[in-house]
Amino acid sequence: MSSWVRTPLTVIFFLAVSVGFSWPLVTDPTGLHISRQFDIYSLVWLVQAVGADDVGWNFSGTAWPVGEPMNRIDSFVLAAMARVGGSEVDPWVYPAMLILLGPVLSGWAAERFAARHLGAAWPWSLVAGLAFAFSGMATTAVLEGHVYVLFDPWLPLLAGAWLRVTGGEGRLRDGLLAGLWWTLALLTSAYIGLGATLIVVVFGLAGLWSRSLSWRGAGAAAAVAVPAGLAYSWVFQSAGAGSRALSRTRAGESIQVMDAGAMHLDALAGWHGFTDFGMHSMTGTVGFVALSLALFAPWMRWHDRRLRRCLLLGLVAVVLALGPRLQLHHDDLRLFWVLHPLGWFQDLSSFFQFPGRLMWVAALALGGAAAVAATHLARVHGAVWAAPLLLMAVADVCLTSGMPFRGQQVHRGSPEVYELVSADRAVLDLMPDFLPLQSDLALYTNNLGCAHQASHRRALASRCLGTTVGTGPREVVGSWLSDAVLSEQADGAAIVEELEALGFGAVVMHPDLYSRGDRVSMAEGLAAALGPPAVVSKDGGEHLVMYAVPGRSPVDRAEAQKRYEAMEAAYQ
Amino acid sequence: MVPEIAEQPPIRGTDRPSEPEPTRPIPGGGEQPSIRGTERPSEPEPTRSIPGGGEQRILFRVTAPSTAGFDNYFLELTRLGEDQLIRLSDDGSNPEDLAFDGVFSGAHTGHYARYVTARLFGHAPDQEPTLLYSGVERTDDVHEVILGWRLIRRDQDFTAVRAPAAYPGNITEVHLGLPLLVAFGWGGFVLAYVGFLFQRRREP
Repeated sequence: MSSWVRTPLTVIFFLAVSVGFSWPLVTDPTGLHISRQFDIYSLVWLVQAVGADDVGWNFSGTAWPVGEPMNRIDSFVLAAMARVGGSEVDPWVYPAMLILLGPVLSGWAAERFAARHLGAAWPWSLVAGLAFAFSGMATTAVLEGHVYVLFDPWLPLLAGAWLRVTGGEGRLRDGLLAGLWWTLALLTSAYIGLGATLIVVVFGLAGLWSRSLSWRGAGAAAAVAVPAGLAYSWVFQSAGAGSRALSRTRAGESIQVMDAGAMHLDALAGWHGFTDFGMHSMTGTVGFVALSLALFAPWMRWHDRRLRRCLLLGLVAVVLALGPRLQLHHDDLRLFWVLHPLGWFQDLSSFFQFPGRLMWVAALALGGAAAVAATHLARVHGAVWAAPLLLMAVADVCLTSGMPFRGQQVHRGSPEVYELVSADRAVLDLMPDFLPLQSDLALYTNNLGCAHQASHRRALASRCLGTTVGTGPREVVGSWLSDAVLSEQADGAAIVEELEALGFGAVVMHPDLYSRGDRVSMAEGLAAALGPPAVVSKDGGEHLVMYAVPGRSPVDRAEAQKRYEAMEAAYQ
Repeated sequence: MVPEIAEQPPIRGTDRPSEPEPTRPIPGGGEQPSIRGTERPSEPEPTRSIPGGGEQRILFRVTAPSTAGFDNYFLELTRLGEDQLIRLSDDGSNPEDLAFDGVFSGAHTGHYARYVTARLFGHAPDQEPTLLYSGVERTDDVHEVILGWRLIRRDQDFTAVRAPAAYPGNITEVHLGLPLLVAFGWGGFVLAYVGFLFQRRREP
């Protein structure tokens, strides 16, 4: 079939699957979202922050007054898109477009990988695209909200180029492209970068073993990837802690943390009622069609070296994705597994919290192998016998990932109360301390408030990057204010003076998050110190009470920073 | 402070009647006056009120063994700043409730809320209500929110834990694993078909 016909058909096919996968998002792309957890709110915040006119490596709009270091954003590719779009584009457009169009491009790239580099024939090569772009990991990305990983043609492109380099057929151009695709994978997400590194290592070792590695191509790849990797590491290390802070305030070593982010055996088959219950929505399915075909593939085409390498890659990725301890369901088995030794490197391994995300690589490799097997079966038995496999692969998307039924329909609306604050002053969101059992609420409420900034554009005390929401200005100033207003000797004038000097124009209390007694005490204390509430709002799905802070003089950020640092030193 | 149930009007599936709030519309666009940046006026401004929007129904379900010893259950709900008392029943009076199956249910309809505060009490005859659970729950789905709890024994007493809830028709916990069972069944079918094609190749 001519590529002029095949290409549009492929794109239309994946587009149709994508619309069904994310239904009903297409009916109102910027008015609702379908995520269940809370990363989507951080993503929207990031887009509006990067799109802001005054953005730099330190964003002054959050973590006011010290600002938010932007060194550790996960997706520089998304940041680049947001920067190009600027402040004119509605930030909610990005997640919607990434969910709807990202899998189309990723699926197309995986389909081409199977066809061009593994020898699969169209339409059986579509199985590879379905297995990769609509896998359990894609579902996880949609439901958890880090949807920029859906736009990932880089892994299939890297696998293709690097397969050529390590198979002895690569030219200098293939090496350069492999380096470029690896870099873009790393810049799409750190975990996608890790997956890309796994592809490089497995295919590279296989090439060394069989002495088919093109050193010229490998050198060209390294010439591109090594400087990019070093620059990424420098940016990462130039700000932030040397170990990853736990989002749950519990004692635990990195193995326990990694355990929670590892793939459990039941998650490779499907999902259940507890999968989306809190924090994460981990699903590692690659589809039973891809899995079954990949299982039989070695007996169909054992002589095919590329297929063998692909299967090896898939196997290694699955084994690593199972993490430090083998678990069937929850933490029932606790059997020692291959990543367990990483626990020796506590600080370093604390950044590798989600080995389960290596299932992206498994989905690509097993999907590619499955496309080859499907092609083989179609040639042996005819298209009539093989056609059901394609239909089953489409059904797989729904039956094993649970999409679109697992998605929610959530309004994007933002409370108007923030827009009533002067644009040159910051807002302090006042929330209670959440205990570990409800730490997901701490992240959800914090990130939701960050996303509202896309509408009101006022500076916030909240930290919006990362999961350390229990630290930073909102926590420090909020704790100080809570203590101050609940004190028996509360000095209203001093409280107002301090808040004003810190640059705050309003305190927005979230009363429904407090216990009943504390809600009343806090409201009374705040009213005594700051005067009666200026606004009580119930729009946007939240009950918010805003207390105004008088502001006589223009905000001096340097002075505010100095006051905050003194408060932080005294308070922490 | 535990509320006295007998004094509360029966509330199920509807909003508790409340005084209408004084509402002042917010001026639109960029012309609305900012609250801050100016000195506080000598006379305090009256509190401005922004009402909630959209209607949303929240379903509640408590799975309780008969050994727990509670006759009935009720929820204290804080939704958009308003406290509600919701009785849960197991007499089949709710459309989705199967009578006397140990699953108590109730509902509340109100303005769209992204989260609510819930406190679950169990009431045994001649005793003060017992607090079984308290927490903040996300309710951000526009169309459908089901909050479920399950009573478990801890030492000699019972307490409640949040549990994923199946759809109203599927009220036993077996159905929590139903998607996984379907996936396994589907996987077996697919594997059998691929195996059949593979085996067929070997026939002369």
